Amino acid sequence: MSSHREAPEISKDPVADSTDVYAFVSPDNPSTVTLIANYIPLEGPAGGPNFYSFGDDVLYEIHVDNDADAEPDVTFQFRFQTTVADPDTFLYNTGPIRSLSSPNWNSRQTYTVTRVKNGQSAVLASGLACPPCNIGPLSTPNYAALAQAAVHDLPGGIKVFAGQRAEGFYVDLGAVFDLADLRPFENLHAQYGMNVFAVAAPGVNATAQLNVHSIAIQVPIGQLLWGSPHGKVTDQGSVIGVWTTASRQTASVWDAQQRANCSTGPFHQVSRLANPLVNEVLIPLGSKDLWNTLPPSADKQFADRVTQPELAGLLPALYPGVFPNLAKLVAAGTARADLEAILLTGIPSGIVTGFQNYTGPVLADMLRLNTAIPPSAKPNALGLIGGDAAGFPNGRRVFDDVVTVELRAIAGVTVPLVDKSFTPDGAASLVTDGLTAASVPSGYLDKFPYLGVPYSGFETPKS
Amino acid sequence: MSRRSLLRGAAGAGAVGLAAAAGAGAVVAATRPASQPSLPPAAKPVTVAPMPQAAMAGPLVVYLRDTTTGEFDVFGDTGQVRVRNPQLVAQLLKNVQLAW
Repeated sequence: MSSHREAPEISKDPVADSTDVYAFVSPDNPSTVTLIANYIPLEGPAGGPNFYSFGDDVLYEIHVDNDADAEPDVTFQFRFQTTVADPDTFLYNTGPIRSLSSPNWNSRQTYTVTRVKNGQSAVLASGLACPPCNIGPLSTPNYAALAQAAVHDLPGGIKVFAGQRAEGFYVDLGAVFDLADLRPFENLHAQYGMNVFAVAAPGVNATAQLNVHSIAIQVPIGQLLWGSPHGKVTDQGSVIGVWTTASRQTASVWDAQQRANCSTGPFHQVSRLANPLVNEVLIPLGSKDLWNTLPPSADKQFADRVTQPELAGLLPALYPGVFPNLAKLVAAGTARADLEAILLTGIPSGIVTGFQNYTGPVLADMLRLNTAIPPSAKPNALGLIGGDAAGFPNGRRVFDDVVTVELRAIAGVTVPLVDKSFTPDGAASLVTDGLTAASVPSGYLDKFPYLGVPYSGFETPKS
Repeated sequence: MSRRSLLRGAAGAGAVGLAAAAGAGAVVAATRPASQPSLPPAAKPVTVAPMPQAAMAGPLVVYLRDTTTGEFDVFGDTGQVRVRNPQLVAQLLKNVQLAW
């Protein structure tokens, strides 16, 4: 998955497990950038009576680097507080929740947004209401409007939302984790001699009826930049690097008398995410937990895992004869400068005509967005490799097909960006897990917070 | 030895914290003697993360990773202070052993 349950330790701590990060120039308000960090992977919509919520004991942050050193220059912090109105009932709600102030809503969350800029913290707002989870037609009637009421306008032209959303990331988990099976090509898989798949099959979106919890903030672009020349695509000052982290306090003791956890001490990072699939697919099992605790500026130590990705070696082995040119590239031990540029430095000027999102030589996994590139009138979910510079890996939009983009990149389709003599295999530009944005039943919103209305417990799964 | 005398014997903020972490902070406060034996640290404690004064009211958590070093961390609020006090650690271990 993008980063769902991607490392051993964080897979045991879902409320602190970042799943996806998005950063894009807002299509309906192009003077702003929208930043979204998703948490709590694979929420079953019917998961009551204690429906999903953010962790009151977790510090959630979205970081922005605007001077190319892979250190945060602007950070938005989010802290949540749960209030239970009536502890004498087991019910999440004692009647229909028709508004965010409904007395029927028993267990609710509010949150505080703090901006840290140039080392100075400023609380932007507190007591902001999250929406309830989408339970069903009796508990949460007219859910879309109810949730939209939880979009809050803050001073300075900032919008914020924190709450449940439909999972917008689509991936065929069941196949991919079955030894890199890609159903549209599974008849070409070596299948370990078992001949399980005689013909190709369409992809299956494993996240099709699952929810996540999203933290979304929309910020005027100027508030994220530091003042160096910007506004033109060629200006390095137009490029920001984005990532999210979740942190927990260092010491945690179960207080048996209070029947509560006592968390104390400084916060330490337990989860990190920027580009999709980096920790998930590129970082080896023995380093994943470490990677989650480090800042992007420490990523140099993992550079060989990006430039020599394990999956690039597996594709030719698992799909014999399908990727012969990739096999030669891997056998030659060629470091993948294309992947380093896409994931660790940004793409410099002169590689893709009219495009750059380069942040300098510091090797760091950040989602790099050139804020001078306007939203596309006709978006292509394949982003830059689909000829749409407003999409991944120039930031990431909610509908971008990052699985296909990264599969094709690892398969070699982006090698010619840095080595004109290399000819990608024919399959490299076709490989996919067989899904598209249309594989997401909820669809997406054309306005903030852009991710779709969450699936309700009543309606999911469909009978 | 009673629980009360055990707690009384463990002097200093570290002992308070350890007891508070176990949910016995009120007991410690009620039984703290007027003049406490002094077991000063071997070096000036190191602030790993600033600890607000208000954090001293507890709860505090003490983490003694390696009993042979005499060094331990005290956590309170969002602060962390590292103390090196072999005497206090030795005293603490003696107190713990009384429970055996």
